[in-house]
Amino acid sequence: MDFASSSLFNVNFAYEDELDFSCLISPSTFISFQEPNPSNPIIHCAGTENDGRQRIRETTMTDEITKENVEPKNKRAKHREIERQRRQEVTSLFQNLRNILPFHYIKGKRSSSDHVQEAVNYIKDLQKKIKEVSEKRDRIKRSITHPSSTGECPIRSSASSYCSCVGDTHIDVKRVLIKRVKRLLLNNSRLRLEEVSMAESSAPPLILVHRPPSLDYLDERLSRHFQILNTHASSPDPLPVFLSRHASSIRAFVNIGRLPIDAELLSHLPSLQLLVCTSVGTDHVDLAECKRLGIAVTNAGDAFSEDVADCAVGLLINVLRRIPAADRFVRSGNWAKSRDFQLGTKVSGKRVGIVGLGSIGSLIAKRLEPFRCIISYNSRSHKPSIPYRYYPDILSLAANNDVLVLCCALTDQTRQIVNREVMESLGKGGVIINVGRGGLIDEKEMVKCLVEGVIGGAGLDVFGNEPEVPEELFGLDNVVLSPHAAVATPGSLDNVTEVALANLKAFFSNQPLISPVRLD
Amino acid sequence: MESIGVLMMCPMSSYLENELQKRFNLLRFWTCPEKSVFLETHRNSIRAVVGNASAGADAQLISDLPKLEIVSSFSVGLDKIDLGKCKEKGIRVTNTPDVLTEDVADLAIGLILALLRRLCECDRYVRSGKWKTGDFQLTTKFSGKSVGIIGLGRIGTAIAKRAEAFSCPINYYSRTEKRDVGYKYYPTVVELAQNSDILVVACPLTDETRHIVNRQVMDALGAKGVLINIGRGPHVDEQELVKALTQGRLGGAALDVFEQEPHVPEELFGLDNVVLLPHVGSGTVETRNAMADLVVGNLEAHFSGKSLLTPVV
Repeated sequence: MDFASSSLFNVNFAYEDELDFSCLISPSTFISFQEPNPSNPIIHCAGTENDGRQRIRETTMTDEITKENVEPKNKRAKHREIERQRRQEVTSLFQNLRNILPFHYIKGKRSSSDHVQEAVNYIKDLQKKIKEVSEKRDRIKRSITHPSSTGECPIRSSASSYCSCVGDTHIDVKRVLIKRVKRLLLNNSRLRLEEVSMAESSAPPLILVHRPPSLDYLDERLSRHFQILNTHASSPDPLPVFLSRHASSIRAFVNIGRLPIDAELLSHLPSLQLLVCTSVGTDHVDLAECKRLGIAVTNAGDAFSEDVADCAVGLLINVLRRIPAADRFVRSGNWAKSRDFQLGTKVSGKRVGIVGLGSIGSLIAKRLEPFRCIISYNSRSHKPSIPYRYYPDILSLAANNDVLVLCCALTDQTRQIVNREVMESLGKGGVIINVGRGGLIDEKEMVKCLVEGVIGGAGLDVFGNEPEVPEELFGLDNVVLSPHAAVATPGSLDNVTEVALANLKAFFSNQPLISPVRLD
Repeated sequence: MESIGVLMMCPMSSYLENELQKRFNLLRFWTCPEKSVFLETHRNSIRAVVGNASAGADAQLISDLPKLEIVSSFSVGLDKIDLGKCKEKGIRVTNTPDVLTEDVADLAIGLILALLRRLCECDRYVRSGKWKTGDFQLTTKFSGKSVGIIGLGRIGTAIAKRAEAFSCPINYYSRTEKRDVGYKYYPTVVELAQNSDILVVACPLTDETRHIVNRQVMDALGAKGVLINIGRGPHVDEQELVKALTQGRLGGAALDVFEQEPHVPEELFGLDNVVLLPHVGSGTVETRNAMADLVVGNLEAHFSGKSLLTPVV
């Protein structure tokens, strides 16, 4: 454990001369640590071979005995009680010390006096480090700005938060420079970024962003309102190392993509209060752990609903009418050779069973109505206000439909909800459309059912182990395969950016979140 | 009726062949090597012709068959039948309207989605294993895009209704403005193209509508616009279309029909922003069987002296 990773010592430079560790110990025991001094009784007792607790007690007792000479005897009991409490507090102080001291300070140390000694050493080390770092910071600052820079330049614009004036010459120090300073500081001192950020006055809130390298669509919009600590751009460190080094005071985390958020990862974000996901599904997040830690989670809300519904209907028509297979047929020149193309299946009038009638499912139903499709559904609960027929279990839904559309969340209850039995009851003309998650289907069985003709076809945007796709599907004309692209349109990305921003703004201004995920 | 000669022009449906064979003396035109000898041999027994969108009854065939009474077409469009000649000679003509309206409209929406959401390209991408090594590009949203329909007949209206459910504003062009439809009318195809993201050809092929989508219309549609043709190949100036697509002046095209079927311009084969189908607008098992039933029903009605089910002439 190094200095930078200890979240407990969150030191503000403004107060670096008066270290206040009061937050470390119980409120009733306020002890101000001071520089080691031979005349200081605490340091003296800590230096002895004996048990520190005992010595402290003795030291205190001596004081009390002196007082006792002038006080009535009936106060002795009261003093004993006070003494008992003090001893308890001291015990808890040592316990706290053990907890907060980095391991290499307490390694092999047993007695409390050793602990106190090591605590003093630790504080001395910290102060030394802080002094070095702040000197380094000042040196770098001096090297890029004029020392007289106090922000009082009359032409300092709001766009440039830093300004340096040499005589009457206004020098505009752009944010780029500040970023460079930050980077230098980070590289040289292993300082936490938020500590450097404190040096900036009225800085926008700092948020943590994790995203795949190609998904940069949020960066520009977010950076207008927030300072971004980007895991991807900032560091070559492995993610846990990066997080514990730089993100321990992060309160809001935007997770773009499908990085699994588990208890281990959350343990590196001790100050986290908000997790913003840019997907609709949150099956990659340990929601129970978030609930336990009091972290609110938001998802993409309705941002993707239209695009996913469009994709579902597109896959449905493309599978039934064999559009990609027909396109392959024409491009390969087979039509010109007057070969026959196998007829497709009519879409209009088909019975379509929707699994999960949420915002996406409802939009799919709405789109299929002018196709005269007969809609029924299965979901966690019957929705009496909706005119579509409800089936309480997926087996009867499959038995009564030509097409099964999966657009529900992946949970423990819905994992592999489509098993062989469901596919058998859907039957050989039946088609499965999956725009939910790959885990909703028993993929191995589905491949068998497609190859054996147990079901008629499938349109799949999602798979069990993306980007791996069972190769048996590649040769089939009755399947349409899509690389989890149901949400990937500029319109959807604009929408999700708005939703993420709205959630972040609500969080930082203590307003209700826009699209919170139920944590149960 | 078993003695009545019914000439079938080309293979179109095995179900239809079976149904015809059960009732009539079915003659398969495509199986005979010498067409003129064949016609000469059967000229006095053939009383009916069954054609479709690619092979009908032209003036030559009509004059070669003096006993011809009825042409029953396995299609909606009758551009392969010389209707003037039929009228002149008192030959009845039937088609198969309505039964394929839904299929063509379904396919039009399927093609729009396939093109904008790049479903065929997605499918190729996954099958080729490229997904493992990279991210697929972004695609284009369909919901809310403006759809311009050329020809607001049965098929055009069915397309409009489906597109409405995707929150699309609907525009149309037709010979006359239709009241009570609630869609925006444009008096020219160029104006329609200028004001639409998606242009769908859904009108019958006539002399007036040949090359109704020309270079000017394609340029009005523009580099972000897409063309959907589920009408007939000659509605679109194909040479200009290939140029517009390869030069990037048009955003994309989804085509079920071509000028010289089954020949498709090979320049299109390498493009990712096109979807190419082998004229399958009505190509579903359900509809083909319903169409076959109509063809057979019209012939039976004619030869038993009842009124035709779906007469045109």
